[in-house]
Amino acid sequence: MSMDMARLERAWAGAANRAEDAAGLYLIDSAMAEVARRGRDFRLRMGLIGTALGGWSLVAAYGIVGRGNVDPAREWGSLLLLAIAWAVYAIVVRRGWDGGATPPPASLPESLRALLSQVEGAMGRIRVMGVAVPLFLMALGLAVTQLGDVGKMTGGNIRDFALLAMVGFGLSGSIMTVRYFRMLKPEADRLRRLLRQYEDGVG
Amino acid sequence: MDAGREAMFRQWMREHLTLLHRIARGFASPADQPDLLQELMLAVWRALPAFRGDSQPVTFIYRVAHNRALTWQGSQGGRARRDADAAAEAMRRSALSADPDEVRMLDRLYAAIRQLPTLDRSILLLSLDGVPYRDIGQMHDLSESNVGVRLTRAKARLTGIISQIEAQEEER
Repeated sequence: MSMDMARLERAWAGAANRAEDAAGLYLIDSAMAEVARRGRDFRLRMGLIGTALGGWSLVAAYGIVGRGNVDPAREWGSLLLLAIAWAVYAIVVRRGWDGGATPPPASLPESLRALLSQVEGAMGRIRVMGVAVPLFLMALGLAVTQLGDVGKMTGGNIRDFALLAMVGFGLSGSIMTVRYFRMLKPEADRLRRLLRQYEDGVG
Repeated sequence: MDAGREAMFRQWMREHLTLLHRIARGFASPADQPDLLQELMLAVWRALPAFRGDSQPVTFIYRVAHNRALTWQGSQGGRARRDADAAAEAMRRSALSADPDEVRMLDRLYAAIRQLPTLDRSILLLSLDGVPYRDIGQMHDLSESNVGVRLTRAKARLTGIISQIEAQEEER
């Protein structure tokens, strides 16, 4: 075995296992171009979102100051929503496309455990939604039926509402199911297998 | 783009691109290597502002790159795939000027490394690059003796896999 390893180690240290200077420069330029492209894409996306938020803010300001048809004392909920949207927008812009400086982890298993915890957290949230959404739908159905009984909604209104709710919840439920079983679960399994490797054969 | 950050990144890459190249070959199939190489470079770019100079840049780069390689989920396809084609071409050009026997030996070596469990792959790559057991242990939160045991086992397995690959090549 030692003979073979010595041969492999020589090949490892050989010229064929080194990035050639010219190719290296080319790769560095490619990486820098990718950094610039991601930065441009990020600025474009943020520009579009900022424009939409700005438009929404102008409409709200015109409603309060110009037309006077928005009463901030009674409709502060939508203004709070706008403020939250701006705050999140500011945080995202400040972090930039690359999420700010990402220091390397103290140890690699620690990083894997943190990643697994994130993935499991996302899976847990989807499971909670899986229980909460049917309950919410039942309550919603009950509320709409009662509104129909007291004459505040017509049969047509109820049908339209039911269709909209079915499409909306069906779509988001499908997306969450696919995300759970096709992305999160395989990734959690992969990370657990990886972490088990740290425990196997220790000693 | 921050000029100082870019200058430092370019310098690091000029000095240490080979190690990223080796990690990409050790963790990804030949078709996915350019994608992973680009991801490793971008991971170093992202991490660079967090470098405080309390370790050697090479240690910092190893830590960032092995972390990214361990958590990498495979090719993203689409745009990343097309962007990586240029990098693939550059990687192929790297190998053109080398001794063909040496290139074949390395191909077998990397193919064997990719068949090892992920953790052994990382430890072996670091060891082949001459990283001391102590640093490998710190990176992977393992004792030096544990690193030694794992390396012995990984090397034995590696030579076995290479023998199998060579036997299969002779049969063809």
